[in-house]
Amino acid sequence: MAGLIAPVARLIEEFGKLPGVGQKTAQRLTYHMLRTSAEEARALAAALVAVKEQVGYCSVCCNITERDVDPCSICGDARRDALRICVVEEPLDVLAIERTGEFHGRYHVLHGAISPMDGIGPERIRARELVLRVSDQEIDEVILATNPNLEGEATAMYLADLLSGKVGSVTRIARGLPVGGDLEYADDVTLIRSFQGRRQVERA
Amino acid sequence: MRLTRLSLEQYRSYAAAELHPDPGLTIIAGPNGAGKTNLLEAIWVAVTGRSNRAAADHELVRHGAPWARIRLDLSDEHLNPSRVELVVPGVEAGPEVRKRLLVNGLSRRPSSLTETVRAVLFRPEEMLLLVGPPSDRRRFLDGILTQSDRRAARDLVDLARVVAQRNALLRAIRADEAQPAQLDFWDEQLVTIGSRLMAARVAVVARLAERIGALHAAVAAGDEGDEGAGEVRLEYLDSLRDAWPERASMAAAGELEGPFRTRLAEVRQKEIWNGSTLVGPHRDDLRVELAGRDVASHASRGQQRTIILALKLAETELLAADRNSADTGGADETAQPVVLLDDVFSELDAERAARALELLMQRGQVLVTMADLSTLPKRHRHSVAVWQVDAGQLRLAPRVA
Repeated sequence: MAGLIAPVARLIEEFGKLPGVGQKTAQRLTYHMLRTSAEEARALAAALVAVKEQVGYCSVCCNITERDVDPCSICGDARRDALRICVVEEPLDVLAIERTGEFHGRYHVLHGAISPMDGIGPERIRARELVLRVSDQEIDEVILATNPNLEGEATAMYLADLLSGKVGSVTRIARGLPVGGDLEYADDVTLIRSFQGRRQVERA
Repeated sequence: MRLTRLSLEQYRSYAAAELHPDPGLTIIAGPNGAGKTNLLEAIWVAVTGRSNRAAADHELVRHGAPWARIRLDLSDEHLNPSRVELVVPGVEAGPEVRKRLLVNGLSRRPSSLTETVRAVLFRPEEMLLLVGPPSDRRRFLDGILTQSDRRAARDLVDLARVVAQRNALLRAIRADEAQPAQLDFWDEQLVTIGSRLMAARVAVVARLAERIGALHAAVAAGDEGDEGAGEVRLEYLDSLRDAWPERASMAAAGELEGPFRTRLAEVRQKEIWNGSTLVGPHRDDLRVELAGRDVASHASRGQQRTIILALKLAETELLAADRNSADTGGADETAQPVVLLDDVFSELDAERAARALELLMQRGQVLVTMADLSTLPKRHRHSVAVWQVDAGQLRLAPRVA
């Protein structure tokens, strides 16, 4: 980049590699860093290094965990239901489900979904770990909570085949109307799905 | 629904521009490269949600501007106005600028406007519709589907993704990096979505076929000798071919799934060798016959143009008719689409141009771009408002002398 001194250009380039960050934002972040104190810059640098050095993967569920906490805090929590496993694509999905407080079992994080276009086949997601896990211990239910898009469905179907006969039951999270939504604003596919997945009204 | 005003800000070559279309015919004139087509494109983008020629939305934004704004003022037969506003973010846009569509101030999904107003776009390239590659004819059919069938519109997007994923997987299998069993899921998606789309396209072809005879006769009325003689037949050529012998009479998606699966199984090995999906709506074609012979190889240029005009007229009727069936109103002018003719008269002789324009004006509000006003049919030259485009400026010109 013309007119930029080397350290500045380098930081802009590094910021620019981050997801969701374009040229403009990278420049803005860089000039922000120039204005902050040396301590703050060092703290950021230390946090970046720490995230790589102190974070590892749980040997049970493949979720991220601190290096010296394995199994992770969820897998190590004896109060949680060990008979149910919820399978998700990314660590962030665990956080989303945990926020609801609805699920008390354990997780399995695949770190991706099957997408031939991106060169991600079944061997590139943590499916083998899941199969080993369910053959090691008795599992009642595996809940497939991959995203409701093509790649997520492909992954769910692949896992359902893989797990059949090895666990009590394999379920898929429901798809349908968002809570608080209006029927008339729902798109056709969502509406169709919610009809297909309709349920008996439970009387109080 | 009628377009009463088009206003643009930071759109392509225009810093700001405003056009007040006539209820009947509006002419947009100017030298090549002045930005005439941009105006028609803007209307098309607002109605359908995406451009017919820009690969990415940000290409629509004027160089250096953070966003572009397209406003359409519409009016129904009771003169109730509605106001449509589409904002498209540019490359330089901050994260707070997102593509959004407002209808009367309420936020709507981009591309949902086709329930309110529809457009027919006629580009000069379409004069080659009958001799060009099958993809041109698929695009013609899909253009109708996108505006008239929301489910099909979504299926088209999904199909493209399924085919891309499936092709990648086929190549991985060929390279021994994946197992053929992994195709099961993608096969199922291809069959389900593909069958629905084929059925939807077959239905569109059937409805075009109902109209094409009368329209062809109307366009051909003044043709010399027997140029316009003969019956036009339309046939959807599906890639299931042998597996589906009575295709013309079938249109239910459910009935196609079985033959689709059979055909896929037959070509499996070939698909792996080729690394591409050989069966599906993305391989289909529309066959057009005149007097029992394929027009691509047997019809004269004049005959082909007459048929293409009849097809575009049928498209215009179909998009209007479709709204009538959905509305309670019946066949009133509000259902008429906006017809955008991009420099097509330069491709037509005077006689045919005049007849085509007459017929289109009976079926919709017409906006025409032209570089050379002499290509405008004579009887309209004195009665029509002409908007002149020059160097990013748009103004109402004095009547043509």
